[in-house]
Amino acid sequence: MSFVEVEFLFFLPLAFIAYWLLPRNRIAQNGWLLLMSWVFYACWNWRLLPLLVGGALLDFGVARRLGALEGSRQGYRRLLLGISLAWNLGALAFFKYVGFFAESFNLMLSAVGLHASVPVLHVLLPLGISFYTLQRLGYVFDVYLGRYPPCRSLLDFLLFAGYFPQLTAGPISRGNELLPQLAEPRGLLPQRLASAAATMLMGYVLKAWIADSVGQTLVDPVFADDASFSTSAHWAAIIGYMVQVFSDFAGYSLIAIGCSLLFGIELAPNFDSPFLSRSLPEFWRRWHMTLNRWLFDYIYGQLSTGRTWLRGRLDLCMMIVFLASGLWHGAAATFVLWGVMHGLGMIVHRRWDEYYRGLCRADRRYVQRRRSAGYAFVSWLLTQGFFLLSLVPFRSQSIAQTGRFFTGLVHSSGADRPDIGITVGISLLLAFGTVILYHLLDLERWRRFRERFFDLPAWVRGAAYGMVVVFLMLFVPVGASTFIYRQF
Amino acid sequence: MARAQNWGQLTVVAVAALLCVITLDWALHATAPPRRLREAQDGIEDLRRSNPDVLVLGSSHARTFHVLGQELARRTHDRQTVVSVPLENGKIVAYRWLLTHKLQPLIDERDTAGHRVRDRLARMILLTEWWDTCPREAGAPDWNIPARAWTAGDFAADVWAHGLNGFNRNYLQNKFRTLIPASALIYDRFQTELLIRLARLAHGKPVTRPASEEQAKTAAWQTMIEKGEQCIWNPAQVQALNDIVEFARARQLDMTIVLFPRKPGTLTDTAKRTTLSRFAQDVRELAEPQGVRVIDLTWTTPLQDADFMEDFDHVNAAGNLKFAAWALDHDLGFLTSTPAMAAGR
Repeated sequence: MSFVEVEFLFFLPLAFIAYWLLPRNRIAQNGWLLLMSWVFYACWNWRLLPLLVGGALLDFGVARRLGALEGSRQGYRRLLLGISLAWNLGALAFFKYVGFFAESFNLMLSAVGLHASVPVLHVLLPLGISFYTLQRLGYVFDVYLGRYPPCRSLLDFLLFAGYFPQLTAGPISRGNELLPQLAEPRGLLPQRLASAAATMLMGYVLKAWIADSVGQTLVDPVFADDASFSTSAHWAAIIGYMVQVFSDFAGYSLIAIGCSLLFGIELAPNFDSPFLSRSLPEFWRRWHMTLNRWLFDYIYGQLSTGRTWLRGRLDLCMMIVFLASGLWHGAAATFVLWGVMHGLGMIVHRRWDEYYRGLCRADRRYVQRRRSAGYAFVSWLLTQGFFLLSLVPFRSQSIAQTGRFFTGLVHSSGADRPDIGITVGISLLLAFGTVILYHLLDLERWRRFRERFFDLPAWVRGAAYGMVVVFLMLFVPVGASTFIYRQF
Repeated sequence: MARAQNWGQLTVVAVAALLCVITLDWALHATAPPRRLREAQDGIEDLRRSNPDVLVLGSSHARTFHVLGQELARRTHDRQTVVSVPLENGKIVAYRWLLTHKLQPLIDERDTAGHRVRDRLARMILLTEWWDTCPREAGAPDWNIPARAWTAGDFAADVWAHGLNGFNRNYLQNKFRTLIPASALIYDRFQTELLIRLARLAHGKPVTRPASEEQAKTAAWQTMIEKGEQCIWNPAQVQALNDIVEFARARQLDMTIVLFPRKPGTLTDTAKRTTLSRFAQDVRELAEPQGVRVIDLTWTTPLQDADFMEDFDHVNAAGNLKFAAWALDHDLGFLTSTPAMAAGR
């Protein structure tokens, strides 16, 4: 099940109404949400539900033991952590990477002239495995490191491990964000309900209208047959993809956050107007925030400050983080290339930052230059341009297509252009305009316009929301909705 | 993101939003009313309520036979009546499912004395064309479906077996569409019909494609039909066709297989020589030895390109009337009389 499919229109009202009709206590509320979460998952494939539940039970038990043994028997605690890591990463590796590694191994063998081949398994990727695995692992790590005590309620923990709004694609929550909320009964507050509805509506605008319409018209046709399309079509496709992938995932995250708010539970934000970023580190603090904080907390932080050889080797640790991020996104060479590009980008940025700070120390005029509009603009252009180009391997089906597409951005023998009539053209302009406006309204000087909307009389706001709903019902592409991040 | 101070304000926002949606929906309904299409469920209900002489089973094209049925009833003063069951985008396997799961209980229904309830039913027409015998294309849209004829139990069983997918989701989409039939926004939600009608309204005349687009679409159809030879006569579909023929024979129904007319402009000589001839030949070889009549109307009717809808596939309202009149005067003229086997029952 997904938030943008018709079944959700039946599922959500049922889950919501029954939830608020139940007694306002933790057991009833969490019990109902857990049941609904399992139904949500089982609608996709009930046979894989034991994988979700079994992993959660294991991590619950491991964390309880880790908590009980805190400060003693470090060897045993490491063993327990190892068991959780082995189970979670083992399941992820089996379902997500076994085919990729077998294929890569076969390629390596054939490269050295050997023709023995490892059989390639094609297994069904369990829904949301990349997200719920990281969430549970983060929790076990935090308990191991003593950041917070283990959860004592199995019901709360099962819900934490499989809460349906975030099950498919995050946001990836930390234990200390979600578990305390699950430990208390929730009340129905008008403020929260209003916020939930507005957040979901914005999510649907981004996901169902912008992402899907841009993807189908500008992006998919060109990536399906890049050689036939002109250079300008290549640029339109990759810029379109930048808008699509943002709208797709930020929109889906907003729907998840809004949906969760309907049940009185706040999830962490996942996007913070990333196209305003002026550096790669800032970009990664604003884009898929919950994944990146996970990667930096549990991989970069542990490696760069741990007791291993990697301690202090920041560049190498950064590269490992982005290789992991690339592989997390998908078991393919294109994602590895994407990770390498961003790892290198972050290293170059760090070196440049150190160098520039040296200049600032020597000459204060460099500080002024850094604060100038020109410096800000060039930084923004470089950051966004780099991210844009890194999306070529991210979207390509193969390394060969990546190469062809990069060439096509400079010169293409194809002459085709996406088939866009006047209506679609206007719709695309509106879509791009909405994404730009969405970002601009986050700027300090523009924020007051957003505030003004919420100061309007209630009936005016209501009418505006109504018109957005009608617009979505009229213009959302039909029957072709996909969710890019679901595949990860 | 939103700032609602209290329940009162929130209620005002919600009511205003709802009123806005209802008002706009009403305005859209008034300017471009939803076009109600006959679905498999309508056919099943008609059969449940009546005792027809002819049962027509087919894809969306069976809607054309609904018009033909009206013309037949008019000509015979209701002595011969037709129930058509259109299964949107069906394949032969889907027709078999519909026949054995939904229609058979009604066809075989008996009263307390043991007599057939629908004792007039003497003829069955299977309306088909070449792509009905191709397997479902991988990655093709899932709007197809027997799901249009499902009950909640059928839906639940399919979800249990396969999980929610594009195929069984069609059941929910259909349920959602018909939840509020008076709503243009909801009823047209999965067809984009509303937008097309609004565009027509804005233009003040039918929206026509540019000539280049028309040519490109024609060429695409021609190529598709020419390439059809590669996928026709899929064993699973052929087995289903055989089962349908067996079904009719077991009940002594006078069966006819009609190959539905195609838009003339989409048919090249190559397509006629290859895909279409081979398909007609294969159907004849399977059906005629079992006493089933095969009528190939693929390019023999007087229907012209203008008698087809913009989708190049379906016959438009005027074309349906033209087809019904012509067909009852020619190849389907036998429908005006009762078959011998039924007359002797």
